[in-house]
Amino acid sequence: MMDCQNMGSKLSALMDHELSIEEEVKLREHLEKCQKCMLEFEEMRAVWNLMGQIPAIEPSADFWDTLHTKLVPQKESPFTRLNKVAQSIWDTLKDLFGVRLKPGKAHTFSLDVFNDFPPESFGRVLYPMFLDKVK
Amino acid sequence: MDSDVILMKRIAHGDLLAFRRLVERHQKGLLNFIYRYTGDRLLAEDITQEVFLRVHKSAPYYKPKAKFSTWLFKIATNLCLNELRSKDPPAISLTDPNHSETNPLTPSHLLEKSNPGSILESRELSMAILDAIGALPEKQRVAFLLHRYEDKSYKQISEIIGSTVSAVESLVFRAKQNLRKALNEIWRTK
Ligand SMILES: [Zn+2]
Repeated sequence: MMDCQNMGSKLSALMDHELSIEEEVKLREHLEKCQKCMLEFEEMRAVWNLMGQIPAIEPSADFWDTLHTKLVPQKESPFTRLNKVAQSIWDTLKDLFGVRLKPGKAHTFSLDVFNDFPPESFGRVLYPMFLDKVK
Repeated sequence: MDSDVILMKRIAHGDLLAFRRLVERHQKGLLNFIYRYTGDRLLAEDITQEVFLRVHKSAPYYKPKAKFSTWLFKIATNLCLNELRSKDPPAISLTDPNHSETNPLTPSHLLEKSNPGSILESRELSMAILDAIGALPEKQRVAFLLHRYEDKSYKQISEIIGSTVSAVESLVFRAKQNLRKALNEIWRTK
């Protein structure tokens, strides 16, 4: 006989189709015999249906335009090209003199770490350093 | 291959049209997820934009280890959690044992009464539901929203929030229990 006391999370998983076939068969057999659990299950389903009563909202009409303006400065700026040049000069020097940098965070991306270094900003950081060295 | 992944590759090469297509494909789903999490429309739109900016920024480094939408919702979830970390705790106590146990009005009654012309108008009802969601502890809220409205499996949710499948099962269950209590409570004070 199943223990009705701790049935809640199993009933919830049953409703969500998250049980194994064996577990599901066992639980459904129990539900046919146990009115208490059946009521609990129906109540859960009612909450589920009730939660579906919130209408979805629409994105504002200028969603893309706003997003696009936030995007443009980092994408099309004349700095971008300069950065690339600085970056490639740096890369060459680095190879020539065997300068070792700590592996740039900007080059790795993990799901857990969101670094705030925009792509290509690396050159912008390194460029002044490079000028320093030349003087 | 996942067509989102193809778009991400094009975005990595600076293809703006691909980015626009990706945004149009996911903006509504993301916006609603974040809106249901925050309960604030303007804030939700801001955070949604921030999610897309991060997607754009990280496109060159994107590696399709998981389903694209799992990755997308992971970014959204992180931003939501960070955004609201400083906010006040919920006003309704969901752990108060005096609440709802003896209450004869159940969500099934609520559902019956939520028909047009009933005491609880549908606008009022959706506000009540949003309030109830907003009162959930963060992780329960995220897990429930991903499951109820985004059709994510326990497994996918566990990947998004970084926990185990059995922890998700328990989070979703507790969220349902709390929502039931909260909705009963809201109903009773009407
Ligand atoms: Zn039972």
